[in-house]
Amino acid sequence: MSQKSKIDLSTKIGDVTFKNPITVASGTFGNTDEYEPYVDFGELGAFVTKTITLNPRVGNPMPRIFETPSGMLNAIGLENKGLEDYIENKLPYLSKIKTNLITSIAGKDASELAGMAKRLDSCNEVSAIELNLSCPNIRDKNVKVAKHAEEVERVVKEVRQCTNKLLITKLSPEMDFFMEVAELSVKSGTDALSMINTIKGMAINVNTLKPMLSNVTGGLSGPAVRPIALRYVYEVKQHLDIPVIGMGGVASWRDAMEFIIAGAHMVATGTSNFVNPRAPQDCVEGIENYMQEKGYSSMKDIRGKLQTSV
Amino acid sequence: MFDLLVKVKDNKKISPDLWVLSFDSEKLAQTIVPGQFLEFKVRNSTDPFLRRPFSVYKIKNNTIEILYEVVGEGTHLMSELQPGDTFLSLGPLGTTFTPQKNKKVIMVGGGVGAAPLVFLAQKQDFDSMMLGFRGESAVLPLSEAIGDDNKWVYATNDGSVGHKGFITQPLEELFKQEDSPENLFIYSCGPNPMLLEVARICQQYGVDGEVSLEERMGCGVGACLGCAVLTKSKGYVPSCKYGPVFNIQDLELDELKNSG
Repeated sequence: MSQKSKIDLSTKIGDVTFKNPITVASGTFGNTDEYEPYVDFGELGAFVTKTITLNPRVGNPMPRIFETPSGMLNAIGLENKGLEDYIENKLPYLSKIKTNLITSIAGKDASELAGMAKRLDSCNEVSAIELNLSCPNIRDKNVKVAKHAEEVERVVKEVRQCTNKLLITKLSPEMDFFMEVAELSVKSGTDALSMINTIKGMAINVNTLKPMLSNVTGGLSGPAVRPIALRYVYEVKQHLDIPVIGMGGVASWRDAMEFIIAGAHMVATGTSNFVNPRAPQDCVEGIENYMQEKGYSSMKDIRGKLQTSV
Repeated sequence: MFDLLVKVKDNKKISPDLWVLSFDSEKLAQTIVPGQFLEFKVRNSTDPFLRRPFSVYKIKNNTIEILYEVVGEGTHLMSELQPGDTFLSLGPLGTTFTPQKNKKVIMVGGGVGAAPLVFLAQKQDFDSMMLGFRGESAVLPLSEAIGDDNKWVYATNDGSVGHKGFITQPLEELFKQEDSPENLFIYSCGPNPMLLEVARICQQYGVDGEVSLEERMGCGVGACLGCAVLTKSKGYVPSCKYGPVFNIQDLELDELKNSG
């Protein structure tokens, strides 16, 4: 134990220090206390909320989820009770969690998102804001789904002017010219990028000839997408000097270490939380053991240390 | 709520299509209440990936019994479990049936939806256990009955056992013959088309009751919102956390037609 305590798992992004590099993906860890019986939230690097919109949303009709090989499709449609409900009814609970709180937001356009960021800027409990510009399951005009670099640029620029909080922009492989989007996000003032959001997919019931999801398509997540997510993190880190929060099918400390070796500052468990609620905490413990065995004393010793030459 | 590694005690076929898996857990036997469910992960692999929700069927001392039918990859793997094998069980999860003292209780189940009702029957007095099955191979053997066999009424689609047709038909007959239907209370679990018909009849005869939904679930704890149902009292709520047991009058039934 005394040896373990010498290992520093902390990670700094902007002015925010995270006690360790493990967090959870937005939408996979509930709104408040859903996982409290199973996980000590204080042991995680950060708690990330489900995406909040300005006004309440009822989400998509059922069925909303369907299991696929090593993963699942979801088309929840950002069901949430809106920003004011979040501040009034969720924040008091979330403020007691002994780790950083990242609030995920989506909005219909740059000015709505900027307004939301401004409102959250006054909430001391919020350590960081994550811009969800990439939910693949939206068909209405109340939520912006950015497909092009210029759209992302406009949003990030406007939100940046409204908050001094750590600003994270979540990107999706569905965006055209991904690297350009990433680059413009950085130029527009985002402090970090998180990737990847789910990848659009679908499944069909051959008996009824109907899609398995009411939305027809849904976002694919889980271990099936992990190699793709890892490749995106790797490529972005090759091109840009920006902290990345990596996610996509992370289920174990070994998966998390892959993202860290590829250059990620932090890693989120997502769909795996549904299967193993202790997944994020297991990752923290596993990484600590790995570091000890390998003789690394801080995250800097291993982050981005991929050896590509054979 | 616990995430436990439990050991299979027994896993056997009780009819051509139905299986009963049992395991010992003092913790669960003492805490789980009829209506609640458990989420199982029977194999440590990513395919199948998600857990599967199961209602408790019976509790004998500290032994938990689960009634299931092999319908997909998850339940197929479950049927291959041998005594001594281990698997993960998360729970107890969800809401419970409300005990009734002064009402005449009728339980109405369809297929493996019988499971939570049989568990309830271990604790709750009832007048009739009405169960519908698609055919003889899927019928719950009467040797499994709790209480007086005469209270058990069966229906099969092909008439091979009991009433020919849906179980909701003898249910409606029972309502018709009842002088004061307001003294009845229904507990029901099964496929949504059956629940919709149960709800329609209850509404027509002014009968109160509770239904347990069998929605497709992701997390089981209210985090993923994959199993939302529309209620009159709270709007959309995840069935795993605010259900699976709902008051029959609180559900917006039209919404259920699309799911389940």
